[in-house]
Amino acid sequence: MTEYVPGYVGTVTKYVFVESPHMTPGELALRAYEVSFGVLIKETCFGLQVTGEPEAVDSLIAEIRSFDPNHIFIKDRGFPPGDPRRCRANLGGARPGYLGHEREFRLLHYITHGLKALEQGGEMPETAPSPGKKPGLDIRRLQELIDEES
Amino acid sequence: MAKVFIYPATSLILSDLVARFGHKPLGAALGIRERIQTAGIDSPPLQITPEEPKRGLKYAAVEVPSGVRGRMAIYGPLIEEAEAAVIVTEADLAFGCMGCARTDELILFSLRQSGIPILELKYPTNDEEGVQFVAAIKKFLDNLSNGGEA
Amino acid sequence: MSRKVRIAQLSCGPEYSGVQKEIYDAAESVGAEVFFPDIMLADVERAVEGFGLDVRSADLKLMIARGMALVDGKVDADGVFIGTCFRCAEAAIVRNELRRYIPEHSKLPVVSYSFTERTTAGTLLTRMEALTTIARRRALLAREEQSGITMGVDSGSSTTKAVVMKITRSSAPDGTRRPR
Repeated sequence: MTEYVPGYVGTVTKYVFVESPHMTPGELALRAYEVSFGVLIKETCFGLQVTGEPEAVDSLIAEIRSFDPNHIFIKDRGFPPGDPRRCRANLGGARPGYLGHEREFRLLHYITHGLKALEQGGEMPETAPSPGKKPGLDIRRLQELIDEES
Repeated sequence: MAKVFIYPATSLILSDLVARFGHKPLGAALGIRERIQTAGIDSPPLQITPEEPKRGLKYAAVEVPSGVRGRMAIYGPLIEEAEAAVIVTEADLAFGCMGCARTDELILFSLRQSGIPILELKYPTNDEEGVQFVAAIKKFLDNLSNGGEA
Repeated sequence: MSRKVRIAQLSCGPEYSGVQKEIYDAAESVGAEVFFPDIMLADVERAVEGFGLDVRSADLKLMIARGMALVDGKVDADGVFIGTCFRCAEAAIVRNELRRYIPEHSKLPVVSYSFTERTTAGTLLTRMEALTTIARRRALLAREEQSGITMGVDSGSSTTKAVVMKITRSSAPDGTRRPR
């Protein structure tokens, strides 16, 4: 049994996804570097990963959000950037969670639309997209269909 | 600020919206980060050792597969800590930490048994549903801040 | 030093059962390396439709997609290790269907195992050794037609079984020779 000595103890890592017509991940990285102040930044194909002390990361995230609030999405990550246990080059393929990100990435423009509507104010819908069952066919309508067929 | 369990626990969208609206999202990354930053026996990739499925016995019986119990060792404490939950019930392609349908069913059951306020919805498929989705989550989280239930 | 045998891992749950390191250790001890076939989300969606097995768990869908990528030649491997949790019915169905599908549609040797949290590298060692031996000695071991004397060995966790076959002259009307 090998002993495990952890690295980056006490730090937090967050993903920053950008899905914007106004800003590429490269541009986001350049702007983030300007305000990073000791937080490690790794550029990725979808945005950034930022790692550092919790307060410093929270402060940087708040700045990054302000660049394009409706097109930037942030999420926690368990691993520090470049960790070989999760790196595609080491594993031979993408880790499973990456495919989940691919799935949600397709939906981000709907969320952006919702955030913009919220920002503009005005009346917001009361109902949520509900997972409830579709109503069944009314019994009288079923009888009509049976009578028509017969 | 409330602690809100997000389902899928790997969701970028839910994690971002809960944090954006001023609350703390409880997702899989928090449990993984805790394990990655704790010294012990080397057990790549997630630092989940064979002891974790035994800890998962608190949430699932011994005849339940080890992968379910190992995942519940991560999620069980997060569910106990949660003060509310946002659930997307038809999340079809959530991989990795949410890649086991049996674990997902057990998580949903545990959340519904816990008595905490829960918002259930489905992913948006168009702009209008995107507006409804964001509005519903905002309203639910605002109610938490005001001390009421959703 | 000969190159390492590349074993594609198709699995659901070993990371969460705490046995992934055992798989890595067993592979390394027989001169092999384990990797995960690289596919995209669109491949998973196609595989779910194409394979025809509509499972609920996303990681099992991922397994099926990776298996199909190996068969289609999109990913190169010398052998395949299929592993899922013991007692998971859905996983057992996928594991068995992939174990049938891959050899039927490719020349890849396959080994499959259902693990618990108590599975160790020692338990997996004979299977990994069998897999790497077949991968390395494929030309020697692969026979399309029985000739001479051949022995097949099945080394399991509790018993080892062997079959010895020798070609004989046959009294069949069409003169075909059948093994005995």
